[in-house]
Amino acid sequence: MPSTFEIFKAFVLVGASAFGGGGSAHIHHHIVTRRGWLSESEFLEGLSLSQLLPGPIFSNFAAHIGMHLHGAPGAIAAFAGVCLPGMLAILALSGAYFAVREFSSPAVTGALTGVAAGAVGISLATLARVAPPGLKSIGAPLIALAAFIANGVLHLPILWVLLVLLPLGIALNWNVTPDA
Amino acid sequence: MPDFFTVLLEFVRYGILSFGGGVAMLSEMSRSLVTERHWLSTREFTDGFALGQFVPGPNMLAMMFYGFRAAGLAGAFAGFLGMFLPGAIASSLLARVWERVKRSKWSWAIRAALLPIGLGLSAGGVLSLTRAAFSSLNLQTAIVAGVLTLLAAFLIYSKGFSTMLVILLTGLVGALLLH
Repeated sequence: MPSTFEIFKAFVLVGASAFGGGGSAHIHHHIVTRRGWLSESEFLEGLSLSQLLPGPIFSNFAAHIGMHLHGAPGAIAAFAGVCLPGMLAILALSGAYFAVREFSSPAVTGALTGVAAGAVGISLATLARVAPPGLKSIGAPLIALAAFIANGVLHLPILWVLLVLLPLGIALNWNVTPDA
Repeated sequence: MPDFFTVLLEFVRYGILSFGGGVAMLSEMSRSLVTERHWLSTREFTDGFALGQFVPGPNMLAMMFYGFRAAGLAGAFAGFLGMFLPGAIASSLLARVWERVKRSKWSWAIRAALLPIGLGLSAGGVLSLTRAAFSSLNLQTAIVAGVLTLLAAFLIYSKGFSTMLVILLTGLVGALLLH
């Protein structure tokens, strides 16, 4: 079993190399392929659990793996490791952003507009990737559509949306026996 | 300027409710942070999200940018802790008990219900982000930016480009064409 410090080091590496989302692929490379700390099925089950809980999936998954490998200290090490490189980078970028904005030029404004448009494209691509597996359960397309309209169009508070749709989805899928 | 705990409480709310990942909360965030609390402008909301795509690790580190804008360095950490800690704690605890509960009927039903909800909320988040990114543009720049958006989605989804490369490309094209 890896030590807390080994877990921290491995996840700092994951956190520093995982540019632009797709975090689970990097976790797979460093933790499953290179170090053999998890089996394929442990990896997949951990990933689906991390998607189930609220919060950023990448860091949830890291905490889950850390806990699995070395209890609470492992969870803290993995979570801190995966976040640390990006935290330092975004702090530096935030400082630079508010400094540069004081004397912004048309090129800088244009670059930011372009980057914002690109970021929308990234989130669209991510959505297209996660849509098929998310739409398989009973009533899923309707529940997803209701959540989308309530949240994105009507701007209803998210807690209400959950309080209505979660019991509905559970009721619809109560008698489904998984084949997995 | 709000203090550490005000920012922390606001982001803890996101951290607890963001089923389906951080993007699912974007709609709620733009409503609360921009429209209601005035901690950010619409422009800062989209710029911050875009900057979050530049850094390695979880892309929701944009929360640190939002917290930083609201309340300086302390705010940045409040934004981070609020968004990231609840899910990380819950994931760790669930890892402990999962072997026991995973065969139960209700755990399957909850999973079947949560996936489409998270998906719908994320789609709402993408819509809010789109609205925020395009609202301040005139027709001509909006058309160019729209083409960039579709091109970025295509390159990542169909061509397997890295998001980092796509962000750099769209930034470069923006600097040349969008002003």
